[in-house]
Amino acid sequence: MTESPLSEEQAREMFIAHSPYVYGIALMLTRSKTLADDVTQETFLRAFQKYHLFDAAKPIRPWLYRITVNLTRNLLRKQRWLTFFGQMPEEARTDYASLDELLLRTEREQELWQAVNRLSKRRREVVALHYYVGLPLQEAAYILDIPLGTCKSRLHAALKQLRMDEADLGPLRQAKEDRA
Amino acid sequence: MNPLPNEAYQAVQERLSKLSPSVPFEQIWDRHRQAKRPRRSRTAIRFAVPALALSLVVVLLAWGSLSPAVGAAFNRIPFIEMLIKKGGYNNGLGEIERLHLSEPVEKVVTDRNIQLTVVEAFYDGVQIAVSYRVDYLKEDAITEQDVGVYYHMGIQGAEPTMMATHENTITGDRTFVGTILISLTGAEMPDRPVLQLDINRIGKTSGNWNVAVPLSAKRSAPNTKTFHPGIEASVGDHRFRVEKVTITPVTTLVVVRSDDNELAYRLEDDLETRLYDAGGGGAISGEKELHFDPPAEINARPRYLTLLVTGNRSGGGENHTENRTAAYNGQIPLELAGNGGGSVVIRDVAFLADRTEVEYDASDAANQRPMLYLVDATGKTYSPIGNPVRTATDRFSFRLTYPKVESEGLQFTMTLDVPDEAPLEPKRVKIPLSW
Repeated sequence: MTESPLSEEQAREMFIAHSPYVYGIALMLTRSKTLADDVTQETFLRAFQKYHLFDAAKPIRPWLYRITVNLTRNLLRKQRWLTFFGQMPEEARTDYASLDELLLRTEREQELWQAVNRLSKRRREVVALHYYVGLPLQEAAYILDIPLGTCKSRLHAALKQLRMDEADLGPLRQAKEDRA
Repeated sequence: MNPLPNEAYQAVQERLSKLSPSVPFEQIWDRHRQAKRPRRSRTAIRFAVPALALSLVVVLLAWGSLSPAVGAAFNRIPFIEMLIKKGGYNNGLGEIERLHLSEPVEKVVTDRNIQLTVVEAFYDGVQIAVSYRVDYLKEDAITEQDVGVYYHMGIQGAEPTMMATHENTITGDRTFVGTILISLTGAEMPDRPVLQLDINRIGKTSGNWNVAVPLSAKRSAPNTKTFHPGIEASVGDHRFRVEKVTITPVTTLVVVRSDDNELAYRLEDDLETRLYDAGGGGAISGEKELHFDPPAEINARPRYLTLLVTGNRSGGGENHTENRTAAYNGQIPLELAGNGGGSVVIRDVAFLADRTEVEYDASDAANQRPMLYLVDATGKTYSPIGNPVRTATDRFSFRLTYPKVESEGLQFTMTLDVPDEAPLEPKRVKIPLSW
């Protein structure tokens, strides 16, 4: 058995620093506490197992969050088929109460999130990573495995759609200019 | 423009930074360490994990028509059928009952006024299905809290990794029945294996209902065949080798050795019929065991199988969803536009006493598994039970089974995942089968 390049202490530090965000990203994309827990566990397990492939000269955050997003995408795809074939009730897939309880506490925040949820999955991913997690667009593009230009165009399309969503537009009109 | 007002966005980020998953670091690190251990020590630890924690599905159904009598009455209980109906499991399990592949067991253990009877067991070298009955010998009628069997499991003299799921059904005032479905991975099994079930709790009562269940593959063996292809191939930089294929009446097992866990695998027969992921399986020391449905009855001995292998990324391409609908007014066929210019044509609908069967033709292999729902006049949506079953060898004809629905006002809804970018072509590995 070869010695792991990652010590327990390093692994613990990685977990403490990043698990809130890994869990948060998974929670926003899956809308389920249970699934977010599963994704978090699998993300770190995968990261520990593949740590020898990680280039230590680079920041770990984009690498880790990219694993999270990929695992979430795979999980959601699988859940969809499980639901279709009756192996999982539809209502088990989402738990909006968890998201409200953990992240979106005011009515205004919840209304805004509902508007974001009406976006397509790929637009929602960009909005979640850029605005809700607070990542620079370049990092969001890397995590989503898309060119920066594509990331910008998705964000642009998402904002355009949000602006057109009259029902949720009131609070948005008060917003300041994009910090990106 | 930022879609969140600044104060809201800062508040959300602040909360996000304080989130805490319910899984502690120690648990993940333990899993990581166990995964690195040599096979024997890892599987030994796995045995210590209660099967219940791995996967537990308990569905209750009032069904009071059975006599509480024991003995021969057990044989009339369609354990596997109940498991499939409630769990939506893969097609292969249906073969256990259709071909009478389970062996009778009838082991009885009584403790704390609760009697556990193991009625029958199926085993094919890949999976175990153990069916049991629980009788409460006290006077009071049981409630949902009395239903549930909590167990640890192992195979005497062997150390496979075991994953389990189960379903229970209330069948009388003081009785419930259930089936435990166990997937085996990673160890040679003895010729005459014995499943040790250590049961320390039933419902809310603690006690001792430990039982040893002898297993026999005698009934499935005539229709079980193992091949050793030894075919090597690669996807990008990742090499893999197809070590073994075992086809049983219930499962197709494919063992692949690879240094990359990110590879994704699908399986087709020689008529391009998809054999669907049957759950279970696992990976140990670079060897991945994949469980799929068995070949369809109509093509039970294919000349070859094709393993379709993709890297993780190709499976993660962007899609968008489109819906197609068609109202049923007694007129057949109904055509729904599929992916890539193809179509799905509904040829027949049978409204049976206990189910609805839909026969359809897909224009090509890519459209063979439509996400086809039935919607009744009240707007209630019905998903199919199990995977499509191929019904013809010269065209892509399939049958899907649904719960019983009324024909009046029925509508078909097909949801399509339309890829926005052309997906990468999978590596196709042909595995000849010499029967």
